[in-house]
Amino acid sequence: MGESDSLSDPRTDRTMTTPTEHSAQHTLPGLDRALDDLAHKAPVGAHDPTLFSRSMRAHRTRRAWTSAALAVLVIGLASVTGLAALTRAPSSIQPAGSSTPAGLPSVVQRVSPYLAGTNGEPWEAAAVLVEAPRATGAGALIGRTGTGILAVSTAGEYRFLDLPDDWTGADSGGLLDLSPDGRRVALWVTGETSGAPYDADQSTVGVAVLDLTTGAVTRQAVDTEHGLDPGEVRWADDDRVVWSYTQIAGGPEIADDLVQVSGDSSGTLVWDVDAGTVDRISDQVPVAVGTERVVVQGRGRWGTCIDLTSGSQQRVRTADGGFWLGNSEAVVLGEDCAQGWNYTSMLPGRFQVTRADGSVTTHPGAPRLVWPLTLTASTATWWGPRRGDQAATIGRLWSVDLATDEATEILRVPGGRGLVGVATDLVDLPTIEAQDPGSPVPLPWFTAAGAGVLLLGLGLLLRGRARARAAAAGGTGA
Amino acid sequence: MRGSETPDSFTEFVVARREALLRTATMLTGDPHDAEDLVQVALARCVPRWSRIEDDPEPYVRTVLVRENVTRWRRRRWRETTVTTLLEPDAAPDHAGALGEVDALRRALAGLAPKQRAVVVLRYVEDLPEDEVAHLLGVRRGTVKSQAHDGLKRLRALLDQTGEKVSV
Repeated sequence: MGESDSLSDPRTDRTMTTPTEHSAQHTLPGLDRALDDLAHKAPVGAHDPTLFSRSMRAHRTRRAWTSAALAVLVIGLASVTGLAALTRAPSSIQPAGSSTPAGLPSVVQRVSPYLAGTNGEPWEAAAVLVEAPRATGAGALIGRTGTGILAVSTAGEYRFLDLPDDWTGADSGGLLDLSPDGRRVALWVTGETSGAPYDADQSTVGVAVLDLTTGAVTRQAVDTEHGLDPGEVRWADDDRVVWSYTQIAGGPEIADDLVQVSGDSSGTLVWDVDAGTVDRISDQVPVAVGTERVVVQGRGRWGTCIDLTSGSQQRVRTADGGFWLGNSEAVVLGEDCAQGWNYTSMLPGRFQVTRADGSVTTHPGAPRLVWPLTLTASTATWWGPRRGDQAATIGRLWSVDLATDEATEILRVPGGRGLVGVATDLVDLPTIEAQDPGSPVPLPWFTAAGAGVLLLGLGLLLRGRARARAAAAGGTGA
Repeated sequence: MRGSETPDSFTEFVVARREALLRTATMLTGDPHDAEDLVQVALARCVPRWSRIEDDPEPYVRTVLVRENVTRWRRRRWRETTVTTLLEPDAAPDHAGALGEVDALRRALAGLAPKQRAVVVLRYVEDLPEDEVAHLLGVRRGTVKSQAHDGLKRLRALLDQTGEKVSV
């Protein structure tokens, strides 16, 4: 017994003494007898002859109620979970018929935040992408929503767009672009860097293309030590992505000083997605991207318009003299290297066209715009007004006759939701009536139902215990 | 499982061992009423398994008894009920000397944690070997040894504090 040395086993030694320093005054020789005395204070009485039968009855009662509670829990929770999965399954949305003509919807309706997502599975080409509240993850169970990307397919079906897990996310400057035919989405992706990453969680390392019709993702990674500062990623046609970036010159220590420490620029890169080739067509960054053309930054207000098919180059006046550098979304490149842009600011403003010869026209009678999308010699389409404009709660896609400034509404997006992308091949086609997006049952309802089942099961358990106690005490327990 | 008719083996066991169980329970709880209740509950818990343990029910019943006492102690502590009843002397002691000893010991035992108390009772009152105590309590033999050592040490200290001498 170790130190108990002085506290020997009362059964074997029959004496207990305190440690040496106290043994003189605190001897406890009678502990064993005292223990025996205490033990013999135990009550004495006849046993209860009904104990067995009462206990059995209580046991059976408890078992019956516990079984009932478990049955309620299993069946109830399985039903709730099954219903939740069933009502949220994409298959609950009617697929569009093959005879449905492709087109832009005239209105992008408000949808339930619980609408199904594409989930990386093959779907359809998207006609339009807009921001919309979406409930995802654990927060969805209690109705919490974030910003999602709602897609309306070229056949009019609604779905939330699920992008690859390594998408940098809109908050990290990861702009994305929908191809003119709506089949593919180009985006920035994160990944491993060879050195200390600028952002441990979100270092951009390349671009990727998601094919909505197959669910396949093709990536184009860049060797980078600390990560990339994303520049442009725009479709020049249905197969080629124009992109640019700047190498970040340091790790996390330069997080607040990006501009001063930016490293090498990529120039203008063209990725032919199907061929898998990347060509650097200029040392300068792109300032405008259009159908099979790109304008790269030159000196002062001049730039170079490059034909991606023939490779021919043309010196052109840039729309903004460099103001829009790195923000080619604000400029649309049309035929003959003409550039249309919002010359006022990032807020809704007037549309101005700068032709290759340097001539400039404005269109004061046309609706204000935020984002120009297409430009030909006679017409232009643009998006505006949207959030940020105090007066506007509905965003519209306009087609404007540049000779008369007469505008035709192509598409409406109520609810102040921002436009993410449009399949520009469809802007000249007749709009279609989109399908009913459906109303999936909100997940919190299922959460509440699940909680109700749990409470019911718990109630049954407690009830069973009470009944069992009653049975044990001599009641029927029924 | 058989019907609710009391099997002879159960009756025989209870008649033969109830008193011993009550003694152990009294030591564990420090209170005769609690002890009676504890034995009743322990036996009731054994009833559904009786057909499987009837050949040698004692170890199982004692295990249930000891563990049920720990459970009840935890439940009481959670409900913040005090254990003052454990410390009160008998209303009608046989004689002053015995009262002092028994009462001091009861108080000291009540000061031990339930598992420690169980180790002391099983090891030194029931005189069970360490292996069996470990089996009953569901702990390792080493734990029984250390708990017995610590339990006696604490018991001694508590008896010292009461100032009541446990005389021969």
